[in-house]
Amino acid sequence: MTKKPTLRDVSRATGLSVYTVSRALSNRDGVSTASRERVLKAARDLGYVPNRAAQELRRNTRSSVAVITASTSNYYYLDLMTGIQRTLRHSDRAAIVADVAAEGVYTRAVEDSLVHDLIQSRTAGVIATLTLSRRSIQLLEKWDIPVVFVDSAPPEGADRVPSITTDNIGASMKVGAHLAGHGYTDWLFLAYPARWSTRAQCERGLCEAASAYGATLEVLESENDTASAYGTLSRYLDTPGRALPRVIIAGNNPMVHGALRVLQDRAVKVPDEVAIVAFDDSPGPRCWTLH
Amino acid sequence: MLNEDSETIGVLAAQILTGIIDEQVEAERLGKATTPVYRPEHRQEMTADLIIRKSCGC
Repeated sequence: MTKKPTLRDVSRATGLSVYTVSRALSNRDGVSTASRERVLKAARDLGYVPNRAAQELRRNTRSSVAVITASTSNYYYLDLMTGIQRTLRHSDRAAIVADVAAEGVYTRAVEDSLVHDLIQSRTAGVIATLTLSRRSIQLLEKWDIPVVFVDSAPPEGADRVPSITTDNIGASMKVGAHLAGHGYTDWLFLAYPARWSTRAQCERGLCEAASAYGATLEVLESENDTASAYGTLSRYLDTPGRALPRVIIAGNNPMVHGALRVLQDRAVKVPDEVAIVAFDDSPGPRCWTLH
Repeated sequence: MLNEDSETIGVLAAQILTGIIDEQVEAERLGKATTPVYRPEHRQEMTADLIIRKSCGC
């Protein structure tokens, strides 16, 4: 294996002290512009990459933030990361993504292991897209690691922890009003498991909307990924005597893709025979147009 | 589709988190406790827009 270039190699190549090279690479003062440029060029030429973890241990700069996601196949997370990265760049911080439900299935063991890893690596802060356990919050608090929840509520007893949530009840009422305007009163909610805290609000809002607009609502639960949504909806529709619902409301992007595939396989016309609604924004297929 | 504008949510979340971390860094510099300080304004609820898309049939 080729030896990795070190700080000492950059020092030798530039003729500057290790101290000066270190300060130049970490953008600290006390180094002239000419020396800094010389160091950066030498580092580039040698392929030297600073050991950020070691730097942080020495300086305690708190420069690494973790984003805990649950199934990154959801387009929602790509836009979310764009917003997070754009903001962190201004403070010279970087984000790492850790998925606790990569296959759409959450396990507590994965969460526990991840939280320990984040503490060990002295992560500066956490943005969590699903409700973490009370135990995880207590551990992160013990190590002074702040947490912000997005699209999910803090666990019970951690009400003061920051959160950015969506008014899913209000959103569901908007959906209900729109569907009622079309005269659609037979709704099927293809929902992800209640482990994701937004499920309860969406379901409650849809129930209220169904009641307000005289519609019937059936809830069909699937694991939180495209393949599971496809399988669950297929089995549901294959049940003898089951008719197509007039509307399928998918819990998120991966699930709407599963539902669309089921309808495509069965040559069901969307929206002529079945209308589709989905929570979460998505660019959508190109053949769809905005009204 | 219900547009939850997740990019804006990401911006807000990162702003809140970096604000809290910056306060911790400053507290550390002053030799004070680095316990994260959470405030009521750190809890926000956004609305979602309903976007109507129509299949062209292809």
